[in-house]
Amino acid sequence: MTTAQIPSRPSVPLLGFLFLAGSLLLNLWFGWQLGPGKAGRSELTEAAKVPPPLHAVLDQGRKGSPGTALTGMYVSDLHQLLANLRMKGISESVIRTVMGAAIDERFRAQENALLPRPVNDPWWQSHFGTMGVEAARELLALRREKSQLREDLLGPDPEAEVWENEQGIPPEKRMQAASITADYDAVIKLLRPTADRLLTAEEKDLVEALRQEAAAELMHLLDPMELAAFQEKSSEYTHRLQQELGGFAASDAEKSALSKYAGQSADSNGREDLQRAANEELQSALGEARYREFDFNRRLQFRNLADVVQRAGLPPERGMAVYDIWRRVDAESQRIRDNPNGGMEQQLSEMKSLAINARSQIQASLGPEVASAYLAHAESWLSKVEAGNVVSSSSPNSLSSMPVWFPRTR
Amino acid sequence: MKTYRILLLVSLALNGLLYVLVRTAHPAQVSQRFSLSDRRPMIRREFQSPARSHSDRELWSDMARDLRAEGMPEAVTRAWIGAEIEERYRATKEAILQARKVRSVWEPEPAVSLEQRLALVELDREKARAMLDALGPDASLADSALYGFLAAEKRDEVKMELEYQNAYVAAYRENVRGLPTAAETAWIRSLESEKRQKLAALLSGPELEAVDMLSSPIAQRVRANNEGVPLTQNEFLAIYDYRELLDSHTRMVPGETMARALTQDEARVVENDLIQKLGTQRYGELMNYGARQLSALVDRSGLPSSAMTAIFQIRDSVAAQSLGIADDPSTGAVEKKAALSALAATARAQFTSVLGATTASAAAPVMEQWFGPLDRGMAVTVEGASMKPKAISSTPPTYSRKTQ
Repeated sequence: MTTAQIPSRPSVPLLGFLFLAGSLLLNLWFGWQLGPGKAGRSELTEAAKVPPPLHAVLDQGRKGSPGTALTGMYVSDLHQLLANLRMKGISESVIRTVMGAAIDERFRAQENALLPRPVNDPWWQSHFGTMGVEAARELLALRREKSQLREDLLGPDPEAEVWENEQGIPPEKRMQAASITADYDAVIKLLRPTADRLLTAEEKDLVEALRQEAAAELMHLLDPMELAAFQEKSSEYTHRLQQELGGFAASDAEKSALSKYAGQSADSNGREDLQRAANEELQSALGEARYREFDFNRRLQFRNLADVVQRAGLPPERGMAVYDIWRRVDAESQRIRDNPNGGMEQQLSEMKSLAINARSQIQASLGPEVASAYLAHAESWLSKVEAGNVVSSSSPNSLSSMPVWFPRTR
Repeated sequence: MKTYRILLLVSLALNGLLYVLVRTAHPAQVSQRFSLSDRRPMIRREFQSPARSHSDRELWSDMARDLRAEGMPEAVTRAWIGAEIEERYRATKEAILQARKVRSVWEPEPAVSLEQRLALVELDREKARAMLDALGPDASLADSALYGFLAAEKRDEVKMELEYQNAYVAAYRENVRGLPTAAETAWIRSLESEKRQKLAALLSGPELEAVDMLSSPIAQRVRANNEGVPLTQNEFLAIYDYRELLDSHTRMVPGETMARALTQDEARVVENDLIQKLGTQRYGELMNYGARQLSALVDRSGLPSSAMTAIFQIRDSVAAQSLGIADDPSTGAVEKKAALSALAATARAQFTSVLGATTASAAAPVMEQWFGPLDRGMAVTVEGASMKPKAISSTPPTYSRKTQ
């Protein structure tokens, strides 16, 4: 072999072997991609392909005559039914559902006999029916008995969602507290199916008595710390704050300030001065920049604006810019009102210009499509400013307006 | 050399085979699969695996048969099969929603994207189909107000389609909640129209109308607002049309304010049309919140409908008398206030004599709403459906500056 042969005749084996090696490496990569635990669709379906115990049970049945595996499974004794299900290795979540349905079935006829008789309404009418005081008491007793049976048979659900605030409450107590609330609430709901329904004195007394009994049962079950945590979960204000916080990701230090704020807001009972003081305290705890983000996020109009800005592919700062316009209008309208030198005509004209300018700034910030969607809502405060009102919104989801000039009777 | 060629050919063939397998197992990621356009068929393919479904459904079907043969109550059998199906799809659902951490009670729900919502809607449809295949028709639907009137063989299919279409539209609605742009609103309207077409393929014209009236959000709202009120079909339809028209010109921002895109003149035309359809008397009864509450109470208490006629006569007479007192130039403010307060007491006593003591005690909030202003020295007027307080002075206002 001479060196001259190499350039004139490419080494087929060398290139070929390189090609083969590449191909084998590619095969290895493909093989790795198909291996267990890879992300993507396989994660969705492979996990679902793991046969649950049911398949083992039924496969066992199919080897014999049909139904062999489930023969003798159903018995009316609930303890025995539970034992049968566990013996067959059925998964715990399925067992809980089956036992829940079996318990419901046990009480169904008795419950139906006590429930308000359904009225056979034509489609244009609706009647929820009326429940007598005695029937309500009997139904409550039945529901409590049913909950007790469920607690005895199944104990707390290991998969139930646990909130951070109530992690200190033992699972058994959490389950019992949830049952107490659900049972009493269900009966109260039957007595007052809609907020519009007018109640007789007897019905009102019963609703009040049931609320007090539920509270007493909870106090008996939970110690004060546990009760506070449980009540925090079910408080109306907590739910409101949960919605208001929207996309505001709070740090641990901020969480503590927010928790205090939640309590203060709940205690303010709608009093604007107390709410304003709570806002100011929170503002000083969070700092101006973070408070601005918090205030933006807790106001539904701006959360909605942030959503539509994102869907339209605009930068998120555009939403914040509109929030700043809103705050400027708020402050400026108060300045106009408080100007001691302004006459009625001048002040009304200034308010009008303020609203018109704000509208055009919003349009410039958001562009025609998003601005049109936002202004359909924002006109509820802009038009008020334009008509000479100072608009104030110290609580996040309510708006109050006060005319700069108001009629006075002599 | 020959061995090398064979090896190369085998390896290349293996490349091809493995490539196909990898593509089957790894389609595009969820986040890249969706946009605001309708990808329904593609999503459905993603979440259906006919081979797997077939074998599972056979098992569930056999199991339902065996459990029924065992004498298990139907409700428990259905719950069991439902739980098995849920369990089978649990991993898929968890993969769609991703892991959820323990959070404070006031921490918001983790955001769910449109892609995730649509994937869950498709998953629910597959589960509903599996339930129907395994268990057959649900006999309890015969008692349902929404499906009971349909032929037995239609109920389950209609229920499945209606729930699927509603969930699909709801997923988009939820995604644009609050501030939909004009294009998004048009898109949702087109989905609503598509939903109607799909249902029209399963239902006759009258059946479709009935399902609309039973399931549409406006119809449900009209029924809920009139719970216990004895409405006629024509009255229901008149109120339905009125609400539908207002809704189509209104943007509601929950928890905040309502922006109504109707001018005052347009609103008056709509209101007059409703008055014409209901008649002035019934308009006053059905569009006044307190009157509706009273009407339901009278019906629930088993009193005759003539009790409501008497109630309205008392109300109108008291309003007229209160205006007479307020406008009487011969009496001073103190006497007027005393007379108005006495009129309130008379009105309450008349209500009690018509309703009886028990029902009248329940009616106290409405009496307070209607006659409370009399106790505070004001007259009351009935304007259309509204009761309004009227100050006893008729001096025109001057304007003064608001001071802090």
